[in-house]
Amino acid sequence: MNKNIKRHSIMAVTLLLLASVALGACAPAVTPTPQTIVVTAPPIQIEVTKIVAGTPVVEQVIVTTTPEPAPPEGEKTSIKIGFIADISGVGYIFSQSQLAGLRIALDELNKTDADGKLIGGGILGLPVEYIVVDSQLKPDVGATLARKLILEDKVDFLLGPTSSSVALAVSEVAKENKVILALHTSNSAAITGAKGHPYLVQVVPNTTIEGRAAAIFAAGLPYTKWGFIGPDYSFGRDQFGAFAPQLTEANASASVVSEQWPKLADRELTPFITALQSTGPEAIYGNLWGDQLVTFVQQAAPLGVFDDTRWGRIIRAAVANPEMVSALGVNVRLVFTGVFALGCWLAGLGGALVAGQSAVGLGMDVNIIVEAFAVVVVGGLGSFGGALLGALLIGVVLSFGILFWPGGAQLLPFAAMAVVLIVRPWGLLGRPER
Amino acid sequence: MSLLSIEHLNKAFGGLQATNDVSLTLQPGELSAIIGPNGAGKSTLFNLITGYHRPDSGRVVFDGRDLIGLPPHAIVRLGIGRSFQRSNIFPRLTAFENVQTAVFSQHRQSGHLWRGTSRFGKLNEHVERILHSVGLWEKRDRLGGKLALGDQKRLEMGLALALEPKLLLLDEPTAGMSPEETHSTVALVKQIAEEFKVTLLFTEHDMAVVFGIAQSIHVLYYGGIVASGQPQEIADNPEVQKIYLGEKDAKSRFRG
Amino acid sequence: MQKLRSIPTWVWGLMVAVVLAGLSVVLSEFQLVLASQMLIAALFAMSLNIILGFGGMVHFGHAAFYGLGAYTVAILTKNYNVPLWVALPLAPVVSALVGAVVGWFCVRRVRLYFSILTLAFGQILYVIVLSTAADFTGGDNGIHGIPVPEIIVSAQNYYLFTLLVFALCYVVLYILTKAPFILTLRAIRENAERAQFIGLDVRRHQLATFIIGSAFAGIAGGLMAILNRFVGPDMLFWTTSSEPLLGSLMGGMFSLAGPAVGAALLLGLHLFISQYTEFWPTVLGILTIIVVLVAPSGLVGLSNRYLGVARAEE
Repeated sequence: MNKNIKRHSIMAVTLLLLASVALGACAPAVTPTPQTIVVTAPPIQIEVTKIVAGTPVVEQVIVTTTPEPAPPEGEKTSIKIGFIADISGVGYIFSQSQLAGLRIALDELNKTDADGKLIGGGILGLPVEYIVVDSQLKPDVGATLARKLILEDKVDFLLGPTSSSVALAVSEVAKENKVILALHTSNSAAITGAKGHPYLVQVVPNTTIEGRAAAIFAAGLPYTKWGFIGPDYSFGRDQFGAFAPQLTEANASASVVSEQWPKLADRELTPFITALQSTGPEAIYGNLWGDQLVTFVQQAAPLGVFDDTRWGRIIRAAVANPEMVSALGVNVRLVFTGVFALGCWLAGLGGALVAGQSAVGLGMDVNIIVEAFAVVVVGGLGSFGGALLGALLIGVVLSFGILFWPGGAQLLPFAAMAVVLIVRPWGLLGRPER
Repeated sequence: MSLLSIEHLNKAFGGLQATNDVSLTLQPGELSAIIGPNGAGKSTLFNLITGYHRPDSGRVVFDGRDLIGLPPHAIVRLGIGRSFQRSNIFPRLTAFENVQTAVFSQHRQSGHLWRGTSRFGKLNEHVERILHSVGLWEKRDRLGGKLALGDQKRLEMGLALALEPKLLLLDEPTAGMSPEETHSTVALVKQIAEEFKVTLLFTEHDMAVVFGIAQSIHVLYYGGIVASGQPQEIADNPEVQKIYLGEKDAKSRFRG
Repeated sequence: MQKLRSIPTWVWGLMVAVVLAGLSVVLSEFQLVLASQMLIAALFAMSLNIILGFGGMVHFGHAAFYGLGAYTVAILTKNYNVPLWVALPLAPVVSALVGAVVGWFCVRRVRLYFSILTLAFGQILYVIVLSTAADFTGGDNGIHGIPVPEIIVSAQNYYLFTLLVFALCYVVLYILTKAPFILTLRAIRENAERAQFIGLDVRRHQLATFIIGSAFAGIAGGLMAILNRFVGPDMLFWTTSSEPLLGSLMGGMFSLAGPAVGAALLLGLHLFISQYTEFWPTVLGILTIIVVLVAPSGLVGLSNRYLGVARAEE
């Protein structure tokens, strides 16, 4: 009897889930009442500098959203903006200030008088609403969401993302559907250049402009050996591509002696920093941004990047290799339930140590976990000493690999993992079990 | 010409000499048993014959072919079938599917990619015949893992038979069985040996079973053979009696 | 219930196919794109399940073959102007070839070691596409603007095209599951050691399975390349492997249709729940735990039990 109830309730739950999915997937045939879906967030307090009678005045402004009165049915009563924001990931900081800016703008545009009549001007005379979605720095997610905003939510305009990769993908969708995409942060030259189309509005200088401007400025400084570090995607590449030739053109004796290209979500920048330092640059030009820039500063400082003497930098890089510290924290063993907790404790300790090393955010786990696998496999499953040895080896392999083979260094840990598993599955210090 | 010839076989695991200079021969059609106390090395010997382990030295010649170095699946194809001491079937396949897998393997149809298994009439008839022989036809749609222990042993035998072996190795076929189950298993083994014309080499603890089936017996002790011969000779052998002296009613058990 | 069971399978299949095709006139443009994505996810999950559910091999690197298929279509059509009807069939070929090499190494190890090795190879392929061969593959940017033939540009036509490819793949896989190959595979899954003693070359069989699964993943990847008109290295990252894995788990690992249903449902659920909360990963995690603890045979297993159908592994 009990089994039947259990079985039936499971069936009921499953059917409910199925029904809700089916319902969710089918948009109602009637034109939906426009809703304002606002991402919940506490009021933001920011400093705004206003020019009042010729003097800059700093004000503390608290930004909140003003609730919209429900509009009458039928004719177009508002302009809808779909904002595709890169909220999760290294772009979080940017997304929050973008949202704040959006709200400030809408507060002005949607201002009403005592009778509720629009006096702020609106857009095309109509009040403005917005929907925010999170593209998570993923182009395919951005494209899907863009399609959804256009086809389902019937937005009038799209507001662009932070990441240039996502912007490229969203731009394709905007072009297909002839909906204007307004860009404000992503600025890879390809977006408005090679892949440009009439349905784009860009308000910031693109990477070509930025790169060349930076190069002209850099050329005027008394340095000839420049190092570079930037994120390995269209934004970083395009901007550097404009910087490097312009630098030499403006100052014949100046050139870039070292280029380092970590991935956008990379939080382990130390190997890149040490590789950069080994070529002895006098100055560094970089276009890391967001969380990654914070991480860079945190990890570069102890390595003496911001110090004066070259020897000081080298000694510090060798002695205080932060990779050992984070690797120790990564020492996680997969074991049965009781020791699992111990493992989790160790992992938490490692995370706490790393928190002082680099920016903390969602997605930290995704990359570190495969590296942890590599360490454990190479060192030997079932051996603490092996994990330590493995961490040292993998760390060294990565650091040197980036020096000699930048394009392939990141696969060396996995190649080591594969070789160990094929040749000697129990790792260096593990015990062989047939 | 002997069917199986084992010559001076040796195998050590670390410090333990599991198989110690073992030699024996089997003639076609012979029903032979290997007995000995626990840990004497009976299963290891089977593992060596079937290629699961590689011996340190010695030869195993089957039907004129040297078996050393061949992987288990190749040895099986040469005509040696094996059943296991602990039931080693395919738990989530039905009894029918268990035997069917073996039959298809024997007829080299395992890799066939498109014809449905139900369309192989001839092969499925083989499966049916084997299931009938081991008495599992009524239970053919039961999951292997859900069968009673005795039935699992029958299924074991069915799997070994499906390979149309010339030599059948049975590892303690009646282990863990009640007297009734033991009795029916003995009858089954004898019937199979006759019906399928196999040479039989089996290991056992139960002396009644041994004396009920075997035409020749080899006694294994600490990895080495201490006596070989016909059942009555072995029963009267004082060495053998000494080995089994520790067991209750050892002497009386040997009165066949 | 009796009447339902007596309807032959091919009639069921035809009915489902007709209903799915009929959706193409009923659904909105966005919903058609979503439905196409669901079909691709379903195919991807089915391809994994040949290896995972039937073969019992836990495979963490499957996304790499999906991505390879996608990149094959992308590179051939965009950079070499190869027509789609040539490029798309080449996708499974490339995936199968690479799968053969990777699989050869992987099947030499069992269980945990096998799984970690698949993870390692998957990540190696990911890094190769991402940086080592970046000049060829477009690196982190991926490849944008993949040309699509006129005839399947519209959402409706693309959906029908995807449905056609999916249906063909499903039929092929269905025939495969009824053949001796899968019976043998299931036996190997149950007891690899015993399988050896029935004369089966376990490694060879597992390698063949690996290749077949990789090939079908390649087809799914190729279809996705056409749908999105771009490909990115993320398609080969290990987290992409988790999608068909969870879909197979939820739909039912021991059947052919289970993973397809599970993956499609998961996709729909993802989109639906993401509208209301950012906590989709939490929901996914809880759902996974529930399925593993309560219904390891997934939805299909549950419905089979309910209908009174006994399938072997449930």
